[in-house]
Amino acid sequence: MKNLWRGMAPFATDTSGACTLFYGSNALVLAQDSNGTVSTLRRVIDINAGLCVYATIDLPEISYTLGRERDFIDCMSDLLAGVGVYRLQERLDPIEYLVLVNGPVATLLGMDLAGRAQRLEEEVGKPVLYVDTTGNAYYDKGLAKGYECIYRQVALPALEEDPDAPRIENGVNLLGVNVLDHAGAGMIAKLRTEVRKHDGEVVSNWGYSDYPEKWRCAGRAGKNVVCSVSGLGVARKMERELGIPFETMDKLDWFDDWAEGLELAGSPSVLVVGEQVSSNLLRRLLQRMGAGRVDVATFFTLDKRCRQSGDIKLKAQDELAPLLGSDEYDLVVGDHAFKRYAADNHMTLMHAPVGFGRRDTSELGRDWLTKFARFAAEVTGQRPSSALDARGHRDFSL
Amino acid sequence: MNVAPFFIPGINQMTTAMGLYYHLVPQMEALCFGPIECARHTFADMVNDDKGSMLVIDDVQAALGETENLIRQAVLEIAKETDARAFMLLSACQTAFLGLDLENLCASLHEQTGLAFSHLEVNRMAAEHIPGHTRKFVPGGDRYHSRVANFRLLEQADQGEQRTFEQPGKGVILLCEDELDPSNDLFDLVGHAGIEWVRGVGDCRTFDEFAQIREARVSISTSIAWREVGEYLEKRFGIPHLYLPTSYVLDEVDAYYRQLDSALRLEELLDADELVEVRERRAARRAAASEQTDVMVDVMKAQQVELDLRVILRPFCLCEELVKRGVRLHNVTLNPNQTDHKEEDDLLSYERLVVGNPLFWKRFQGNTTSNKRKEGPANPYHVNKRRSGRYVDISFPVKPEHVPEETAWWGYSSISKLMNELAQGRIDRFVETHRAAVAAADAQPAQKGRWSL
Repeated sequence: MKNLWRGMAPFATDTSGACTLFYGSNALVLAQDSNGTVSTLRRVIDINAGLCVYATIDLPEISYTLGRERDFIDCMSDLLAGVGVYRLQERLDPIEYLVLVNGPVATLLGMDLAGRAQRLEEEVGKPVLYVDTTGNAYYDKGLAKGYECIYRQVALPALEEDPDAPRIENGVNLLGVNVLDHAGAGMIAKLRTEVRKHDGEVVSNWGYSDYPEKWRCAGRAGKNVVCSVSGLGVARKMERELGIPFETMDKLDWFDDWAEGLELAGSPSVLVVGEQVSSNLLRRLLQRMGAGRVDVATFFTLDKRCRQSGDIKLKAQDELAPLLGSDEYDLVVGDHAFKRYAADNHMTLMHAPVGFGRRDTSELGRDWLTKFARFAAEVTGQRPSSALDARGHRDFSL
Repeated sequence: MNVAPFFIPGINQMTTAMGLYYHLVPQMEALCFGPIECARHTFADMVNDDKGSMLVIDDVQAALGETENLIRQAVLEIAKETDARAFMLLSACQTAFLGLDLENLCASLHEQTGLAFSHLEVNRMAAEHIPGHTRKFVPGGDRYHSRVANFRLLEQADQGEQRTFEQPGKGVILLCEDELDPSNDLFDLVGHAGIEWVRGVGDCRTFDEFAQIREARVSISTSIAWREVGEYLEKRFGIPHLYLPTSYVLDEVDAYYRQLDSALRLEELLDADELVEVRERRAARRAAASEQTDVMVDVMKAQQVELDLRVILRPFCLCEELVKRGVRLHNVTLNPNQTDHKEEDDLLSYERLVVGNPLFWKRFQGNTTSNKRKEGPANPYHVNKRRSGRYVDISFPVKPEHVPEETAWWGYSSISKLMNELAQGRIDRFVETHRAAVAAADAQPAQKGRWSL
């Protein structure tokens, strides 16, 4: 049955995705829903490690049903005051701005988030952004909406305020870097290094570790580099509206040195189950190492212009087992949770190279690829096998 | 490459967000339905757990009233593929908000499939979850009604043998998550006065065994979290309920036995010889527990003691008993729930300790605050609470793994068990690791502010 998930949870939602976007700034993110939203989020990321503060509006059903707007505004003002006092006590930077995100109940009720944001802004005197999430989609959609929010509510108004501001020709925006898709610091460090190496400077990384002042300059950058599929929408919009060209990171040769000197014996065919742009990058590197066919499958957005023939959009859990059970692939790169399907089908499964929020901090890099090459040699019989784990297949993680 | 950001290794996967132990009922499937966000809240950590499923219902389907049909389809599909005898339906905030008649749905599904159905409203916006609304808003407060939800399955289970005054039930059910230790006092009752079985809820291996709970003569709850289940069983099925919390005080256990004997009508149903035999065995257990306690107390008296009581359900009761016996308690570590909320079966002991030594309160609060700070980044609850000023966690305590708790301990054997635990260094590992430090501190002249209870 479509939409029935047996034995595993579906993936993080758009609400969680949008929340993680403001992780690195002094924001107060307020979910207009029950406290389940933050509870879910803290299972995805370490919510205390970032600068941002997450909270939910703990109001009873009746306030939602009757649309008592005043209750919401009062509750959010109280929260802001409480957080302000705490941050003062702890000598932390004060909250710079607020972000409102929606949850499932608010979506069902058709809440006017923009209106609420405006009222709250008048009440508290701080900028209030809003991301109209639903709690019904996956995190990539939430991130995309978050980028759209930054673009529409911060970057564009800044350009309108100062239309004569010069363009930063060598400036690069890193669009789509986020704590869910890029858990470790390695990817962002590599990107920054490469930008500098090519005589550029990073204008903004859109929420990963910068703050609104940088977002205000984002519209003046000379180029956008898209690091995950969630950043594609805004990159195209910026190209169309502001004339800023973009490239996805898998099209750049910045990461090729990771694969240099590594070889995949026996040209194994590989299936990568994951976010599209990162998976495309992995495909590029694996092919440079001598892999045969490399296909990408994803539960998230599969952009038509970035896909290659053989790439698969997964819609439900029951499409996963036949795919992983197929004889077409020698190796599968996927999440820990998919192991059950691999074990059933006697296939070898590897952990995904990049971290999964709090659960895994392994990330794509030279080390990972070296281990992958060694592992592939074992699978294709070019090397003696390492020990099997309790479930009968080889475990691999960094 | 983040394909599934949904799992933290090591989190107990046995409970839902509302603290429902869905693995507790054998051959039961838990089906959570609602939007992804709500469903993930209930089962966010679920990976490779064949007992739980999620049915994602988006807002359009919910608004068009398709929820009940979708649930029906999902139940039929799961029932076809598994040996499920029972289903627990878990609604999320959004679906609860729509006002679905889940009672009726459960009855209708029971009629259609012959399986047992129960439901739990996992609704964070219900008034009882909002601070200040009801007594249930305490850390871990959901545990009360979530446990009862499991036992509502009994209403749709087969009737079994009817209990009458002449045939007052064949078993004793101890309301606890874990299996009973073979050394439990209660096993002494088997074979006497028509008692054929004694088991904890965690001992049930099949749904039929679980359904047999209806035939129990008496139910005993050993922690406040289970009391509501006992009261429910008494009200719904007429099974007398005794609330006899796990105790480390011999006199208290004596009193428990008086209540239990009366509920089981032992004096009436046993002949004189059998009664003597039962009581002699009980006296022997008491003597053994007393002796073990004396030995352990003597060991502990020799030094200042720091206890890690995070897995103890009535920590203040234990502290009080130890202090009475002359143990010099230097420090106590409690789990955050106990710090924030003292259960009523432990509150009196806490108050007596505070009255007896005002420094206790000060030190206890200071100690727990420093613990919170120490655990800060790793413990989202407290930091978040302090940050937002309004956020109060009410989910079941998160444990690295399922720790067998004292709910399965009862009677004199619970005292013996605790003493064994102490002896094995599980609870007093703090003492072990800090023995040198404590010895060094003791060698120093008394410092200002240093205290012991």
